[in-house]
Amino acid sequence: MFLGYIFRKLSFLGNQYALYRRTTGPYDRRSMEGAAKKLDKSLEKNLACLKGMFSDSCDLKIHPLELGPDRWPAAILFIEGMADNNKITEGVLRPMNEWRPEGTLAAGQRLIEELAKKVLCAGSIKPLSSPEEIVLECLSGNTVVLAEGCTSGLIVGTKGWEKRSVSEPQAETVIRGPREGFTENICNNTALIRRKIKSGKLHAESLTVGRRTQTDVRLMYLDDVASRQVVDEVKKRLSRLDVDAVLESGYIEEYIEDAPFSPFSTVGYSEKPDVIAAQILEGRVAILVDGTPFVLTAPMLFIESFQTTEDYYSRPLYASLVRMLRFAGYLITVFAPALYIALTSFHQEFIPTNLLFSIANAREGTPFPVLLETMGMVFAFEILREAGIRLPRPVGQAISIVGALIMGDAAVSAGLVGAPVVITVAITAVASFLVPAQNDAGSVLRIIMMILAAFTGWYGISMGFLAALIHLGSLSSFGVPYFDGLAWTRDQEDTIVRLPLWFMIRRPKAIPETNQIRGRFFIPSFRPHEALDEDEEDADERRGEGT
Amino acid sequence: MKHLIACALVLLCCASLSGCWDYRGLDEIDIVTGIAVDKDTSGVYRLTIEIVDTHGSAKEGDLGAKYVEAEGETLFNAIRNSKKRLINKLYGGNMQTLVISRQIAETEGVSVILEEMLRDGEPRETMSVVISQEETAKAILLAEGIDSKIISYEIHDMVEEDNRVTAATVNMPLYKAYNAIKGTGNSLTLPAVHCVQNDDETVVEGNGIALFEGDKLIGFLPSKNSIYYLFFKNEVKGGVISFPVSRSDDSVSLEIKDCKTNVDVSVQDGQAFVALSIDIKLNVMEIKSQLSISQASQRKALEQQTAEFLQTSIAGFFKEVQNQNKIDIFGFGRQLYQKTPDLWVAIEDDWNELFQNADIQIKVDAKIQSAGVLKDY
Repeated sequence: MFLGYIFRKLSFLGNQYALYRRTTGPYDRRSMEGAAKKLDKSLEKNLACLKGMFSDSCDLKIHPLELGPDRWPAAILFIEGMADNNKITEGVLRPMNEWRPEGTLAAGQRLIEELAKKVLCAGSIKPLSSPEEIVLECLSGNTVVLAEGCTSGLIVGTKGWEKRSVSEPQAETVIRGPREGFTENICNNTALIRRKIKSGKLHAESLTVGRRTQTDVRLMYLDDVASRQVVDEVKKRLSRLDVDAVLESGYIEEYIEDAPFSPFSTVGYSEKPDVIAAQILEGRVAILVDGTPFVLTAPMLFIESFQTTEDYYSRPLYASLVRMLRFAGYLITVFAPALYIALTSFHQEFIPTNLLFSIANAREGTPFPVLLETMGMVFAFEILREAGIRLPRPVGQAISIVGALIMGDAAVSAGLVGAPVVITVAITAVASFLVPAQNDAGSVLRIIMMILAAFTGWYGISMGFLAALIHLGSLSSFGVPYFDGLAWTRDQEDTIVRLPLWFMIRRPKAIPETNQIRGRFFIPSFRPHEALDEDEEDADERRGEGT
Repeated sequence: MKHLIACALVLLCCASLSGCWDYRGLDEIDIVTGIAVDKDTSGVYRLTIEIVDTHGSAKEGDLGAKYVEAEGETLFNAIRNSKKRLINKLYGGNMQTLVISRQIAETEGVSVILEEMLRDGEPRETMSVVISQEETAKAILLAEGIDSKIISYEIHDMVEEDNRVTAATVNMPLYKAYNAIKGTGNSLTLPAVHCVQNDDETVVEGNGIALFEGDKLIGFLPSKNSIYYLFFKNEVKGGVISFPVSRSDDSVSLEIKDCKTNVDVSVQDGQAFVALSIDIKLNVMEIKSQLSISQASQRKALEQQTAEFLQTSIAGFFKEVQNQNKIDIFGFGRQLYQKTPDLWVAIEDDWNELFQNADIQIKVDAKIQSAGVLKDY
């Protein structure tokens, strides 16, 4: 019966999935009801129409004007807070008030043209006649200028709202490396990337996603490096998106990822421009979403989670050491509690004798079976972590002290849990922060492994490990094998060890790209006198290549 | 490289396939560290099972031991009967020592006990098997340990260390002991232990080697002779050789640093020959005479004397075994069986007689490496 229930649930999900896969083609963006196709000649009518389209919002400001000596009626519309007041005053209001036209005013299209060419002062001015488009422009912070007798309005670029300045990202901190992070402003974010890659080949493409939020989404990739198929695939999946709202890049990630049911995420993300620039340079496509500092990259490889920017900013030997540490840390965070359970309840003979004695001694008198004990501690850790993230920072500190120090210690001395469990869970918890990108998957796998270990011991763990490997091997991200780099023997220069940068002359083969070579192989000279000559030659050659 | 990885993976798989497939929490088991097997006159097995006392704090010194006694008509019965006195199940995966009483070894032999231990999947196959020279095997387990309160572990480590450092006993894990009984031409030897007084405490001391014919105890080698036995087995890894230097009563003590021996047994026309060649490296540790081994001539002389001493003592020991024990305790038969199986089949029944009349030829190559860390002496 229970199995039947699960089966029905799964088939329901399958149907939903198939439904989702079948819906193709872009959705109809022009779905605003009751809107006129074109502007009217009468200003009054136009204003009433636009007001209606804004559903009489109080933050829509309509400022009536009279042009020239003839007191020709006109109006400007903007959304309070979205448009820069200074720009409106200096670029729109003042010139229009001070405008003294020679002779009589030309009505209709001429008036609009004259305004655009002679009067208004702004970076971007364009005429628009469709009310919907006018509404959209207005909503994105531009100012609309309307005049009596004109069937089109002028859109003046006055975007400007309060925004956070570029600051150090909270989620990805570094010791060595750039400290700037993306902000919520998409223009700013594209500029940050462009500042890293000053190349005309860096292609940016704009899309709008979200029926109601009309969120700005931009794709960025290197035109001559990124593979056409991947770019087309990303575009195809984005175009399929038919949702009400996109508030964060996570929305998009969930809609475009390859394996929605997998614990592993198949779309990468980062908050740092240097990371995204590096990804783009390796042939990936970056997806920027307005309103969030997190930029997505596709395709993503499993190995990416273990690579950090600092690996490339510090020297290769140490970087390789840290890389290996990260792999070990991930294995620990997934397997340590499960191993503890398996060893203490099935394979006591595996434990060194003296260790066995001290574990047995610690287990003596604890009331719960080892699975419950370990589960409880892992659960407690997850609670503490969640509490630490959500709470205001000063309180969060107190919570972690109370949780980690007092609760752990008290639980051990009260005999509720054994000290080895606390140690195991503590090392698991600390190790989980080594690979933050795979933390979600790690948490899920950890619990699965623990249950397997509690029922079938080490056998269960190895089966679980195999299943995880098979699953990882079967995943793909935008047509790229997800486990590439770890499962195959190619592309080994940047996996378990990080070879020197001058060794990595090719872009990773796993990511399909049209331009493989990234640099020229040379070993930095350690002979100081010869180095000078070689450098000059190198420089000459490079100049030769450039032209 | 690929083969290496494949091998590593296969080995990894082995790790995951071992172990017992039943859930048993650590708090539901009593960890057995050693068992002493006795048999009383009425033919009932009396077991003394040492278990770790996991109560109390591990911080204050090491954990103590507790003892469970059990009796039964058979060994397995007795082990099961012990459960009547316990809440928890006995767990033998970390058992290190099996003490067998002299009486059992002499009258009914050890093979039943060893076999029972091996048949039960749980007990560690590398545990030490020792023969008690006391009245009972229990007395050994109830002795006090100097380093640890768990005497079984102390015995296990002691036997291993003794074999390596003093060459006073053999190191015979359970599986090897059983192989020695069952293998053709092999003979079983086990370490023997007894109790001695040490600083008002009764402690366990290794005391030579117990000799077996088949699986029955026939005698003991005193620990001073053990090293000569080990020469034949190529198991000398350390130890001390002391002997008087000629023309005076002063003696030298030499520490064995490295020793390789090679035994060659052959039978020709009804006469067995044993050729023993020893390649031994030594350090001078104690010297009472005015010898200076930095001088080549004196060192040569000392080496010569060492070789002679070893030759005569080993030859004497061999004669003693031939005359007193009258059986092949060295397992020469095994070598013959492996080398010339056909011949072995023919002489198997007469082998002990052949052994008693066997000729021995000993070649010793002694090298004195240094005088400890001193330079000139």
